[in-house]
Amino acid sequence: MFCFRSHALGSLSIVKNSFSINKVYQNTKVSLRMSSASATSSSPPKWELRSAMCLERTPIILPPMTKIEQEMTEIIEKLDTARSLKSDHELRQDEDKKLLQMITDGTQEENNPDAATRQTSQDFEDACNEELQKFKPASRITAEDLSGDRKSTNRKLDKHLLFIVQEKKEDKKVWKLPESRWKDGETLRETAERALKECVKIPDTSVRVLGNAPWGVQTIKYPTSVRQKLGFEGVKVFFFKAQLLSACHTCLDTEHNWLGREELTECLEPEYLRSVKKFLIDED
Amino acid sequence: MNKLLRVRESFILSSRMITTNTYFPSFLQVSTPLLAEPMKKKKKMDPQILKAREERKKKRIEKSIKKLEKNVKQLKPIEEIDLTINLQKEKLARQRAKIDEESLLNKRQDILKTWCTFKYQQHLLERKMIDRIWSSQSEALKQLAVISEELYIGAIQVDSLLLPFSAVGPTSTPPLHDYEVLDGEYFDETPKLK
Repeated sequence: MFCFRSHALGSLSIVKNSFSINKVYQNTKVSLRMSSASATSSSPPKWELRSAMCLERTPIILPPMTKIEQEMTEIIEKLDTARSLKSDHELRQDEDKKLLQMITDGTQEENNPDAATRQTSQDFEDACNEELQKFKPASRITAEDLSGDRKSTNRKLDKHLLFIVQEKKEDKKVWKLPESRWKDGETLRETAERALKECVKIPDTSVRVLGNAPWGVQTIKYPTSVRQKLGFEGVKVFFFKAQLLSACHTCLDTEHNWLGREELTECLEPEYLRSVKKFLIDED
Repeated sequence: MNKLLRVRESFILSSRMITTNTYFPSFLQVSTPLLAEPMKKKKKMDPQILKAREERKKKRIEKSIKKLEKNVKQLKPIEEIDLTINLQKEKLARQRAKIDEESLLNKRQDILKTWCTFKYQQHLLERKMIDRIWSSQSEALKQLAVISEELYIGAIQVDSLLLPFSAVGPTSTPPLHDYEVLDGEYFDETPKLK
């Protein structure tokens, strides 16, 4: 379960192996040239490389507290007040109480001219409460939540929302993360950014891509007929993760949705969903 | 002109000599100041010696200042450090009455225990999640390394724009649209120099 350390060591071994892989790769290249007529069983399989961008709208508000969390906050508040010293406001309250008592006992009459004009602590508290009542914070459940508008990001504010695009393939409408094919001369991250640019107006929306390394991979093997036709063993889709930093302006012709985790299970294909869910953050 | 010596002359013109002086025969009158020693002449001091004296005085004063400053640099031992009298008085004034509630203690203990297990479970789930994400990434990098070395090296480059990473955390309510942020109360304390 706690294979954190072993994975760290594993990544180190990958770095070490990269140099040996280079040599292996060169050897196979040489062997290919030498035996061009022979079968391609010794050569490494060729994969079509694609890069997909997983754009997420991170939560804007906190999730509601569970029962145990509420109880704990109450306890902590009580302990903190018990261990603290009195504030100026509380000292004023004590003074006011004393004055009141004196007046009721009759020891001190209201000969103090300032007493009438003095703002008691109670007045101050009432004024503060009034001001608080006037302020209305925004509601946690938005209009889009109630209407179920899947195209807007102003929905499910305490959850993550994933950007999904519809792809029309042979009369089949498939929901996918925006992806595009890798071109020569660019890194996979750049491919992913290009894929996103086709769906979202990039200079208007600010997006933060989290690193140069892919977060996940999905292998789709072609059937043998397609394999021979295209020359590729299959497709390898590398996923890159990004965070939405501003409001999203999508291009007009993209059919898109912003889905929460439960809605993903409805829309995405199961194999695809499995690869994607591996690198997404858990939610209750 | 200091004329301490007064001489009365009587002109002896006539046979009848009328004088009222009593200071026979010199007719000299002496006033009290003359009984003192005459003033000593002010000797001009050597300016170098005067300077040397002043410098010595300065040095003495500077030495004493240095000694006092040494004391200030030395830190007071912790045992001697105390609150200023103002703060001590305030502390006394602001004491709260202690409330001993035996019945609440048991309830508190139960909640703390459940909190402990709750947080531990939360931590386990987080560790699981981190492991899962890490394994997904390392698998992707492994497969990429097999496919192409260039792309692999491109993928393991450090993204200088990403670090230092900062994110604004979630709040308890979403931000209000078109909310005018009011200035707080402030007191202008700029010093007026005349």
